[in-house]
Amino acid sequence: MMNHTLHFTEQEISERIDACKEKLYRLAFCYVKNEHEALEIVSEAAYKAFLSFKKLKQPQYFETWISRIVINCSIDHLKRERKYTYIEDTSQPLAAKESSLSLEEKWDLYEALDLLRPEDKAYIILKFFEDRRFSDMAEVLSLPENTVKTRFYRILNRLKKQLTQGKVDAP
Amino acid sequence: MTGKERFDNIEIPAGLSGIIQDARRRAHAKKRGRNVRRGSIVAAAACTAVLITANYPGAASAMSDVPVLGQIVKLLQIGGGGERTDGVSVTTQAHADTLDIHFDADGEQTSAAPAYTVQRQNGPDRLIFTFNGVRNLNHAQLEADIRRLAYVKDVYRDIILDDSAIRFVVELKDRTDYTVTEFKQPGMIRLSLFPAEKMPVSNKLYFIRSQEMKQGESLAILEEQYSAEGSGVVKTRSGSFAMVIGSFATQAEAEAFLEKLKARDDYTEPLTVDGWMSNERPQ
Repeated sequence: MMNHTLHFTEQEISERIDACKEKLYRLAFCYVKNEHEALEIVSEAAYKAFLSFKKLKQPQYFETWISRIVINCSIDHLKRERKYTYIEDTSQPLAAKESSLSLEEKWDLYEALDLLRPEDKAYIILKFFEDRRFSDMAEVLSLPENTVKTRFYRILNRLKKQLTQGKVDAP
Repeated sequence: MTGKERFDNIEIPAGLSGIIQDARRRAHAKKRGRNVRRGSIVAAAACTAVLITANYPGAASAMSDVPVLGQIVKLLQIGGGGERTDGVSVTTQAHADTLDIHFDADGEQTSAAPAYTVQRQNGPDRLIFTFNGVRNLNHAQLEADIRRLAYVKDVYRDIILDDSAIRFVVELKDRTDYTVTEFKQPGMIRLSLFPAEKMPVSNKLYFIRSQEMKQGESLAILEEQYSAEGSGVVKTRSGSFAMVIGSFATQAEAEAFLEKLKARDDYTEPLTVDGWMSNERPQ
């Protein structure tokens, strides 16, 4: 039986972060779309991870845990550093391609991220870019799986309306 | 290209590992700082240790785990920062792969680092630190401390004409990367060295150079004369020094630039075009 209360050492945490650093950087980069700010976010997230790794009780969830820290740092960073225009404020639709294509093929979801509120971006990144299952997303976002599914489809519907009609519902 | 493909193609910056290791050090220092605050006796000892190491670098070797008490101002690889100062003394404290540069004036640590710049040059791979508003420096101690760093090949002073500034050159071993962190309250600069993720490809570069010279006023005047052209001082393979301008990607480019210099009224000291590998010293 796996020892679920095993603690990492600082060196082990360092090695684990190093092993997934590129993934963490890409995650942060999606929020800010520039190297300098993405590095700032990763720096802050790593700092918090090194400070609090003793609280991580289940080593097998390390990547889930550190991803959540990066997402929270990214949201904090965006709210602190910039005014953003998210989907409810936009009026210009992005051009859609052929209707027989999948959502990911129809629209550039990387660009569409810029239309989303900071707290909504993770749903698109985790699902479409990192290919996560809803159960994994629920772990990362610390939410029940059903809540994640509901929010994901709500965000997707708003995006679809925006991308096809330039209209969206109120949040 | 789909959004996922764009996501997968996000370029990873070379300094990412350094950023993470610096976060580790900050967290380590923060945790130690917490422990320090939890006990007044420990706190007093830690503060004393910082003051001792700042003023007496000889004690630094025994204090390699002293926490950083300052706040981070910036983290950079090239560029500069700090504040205008005058008459600041510089002391250093070396650990296995970090160098802490402390500053004090009138016997007290300064609240900010003095104005400084950091440059990186090839041929050989080296960092050039310049501190302004600094007059007192035990250069032998600084060299000794820097030589103790695991990733340093050599260190030497670049004597400049401005006697209120100091400049020194740190030659890096192959496959070394670095970050420079500026702190305030108190002011400190930390140089962190670590293995580079990728082995840089060495290539032949071309320079305009002087003949070999000894360190001193003549070399400093020559460097100053061509400062607008990005001049610098490099240690040669024989242990002497040369003023160099460049690098240039081709010999033709270097020769064309030299011709322009030769046409100047102040061109007196003979300069030549020379080429050597980006990770090596000149002859």
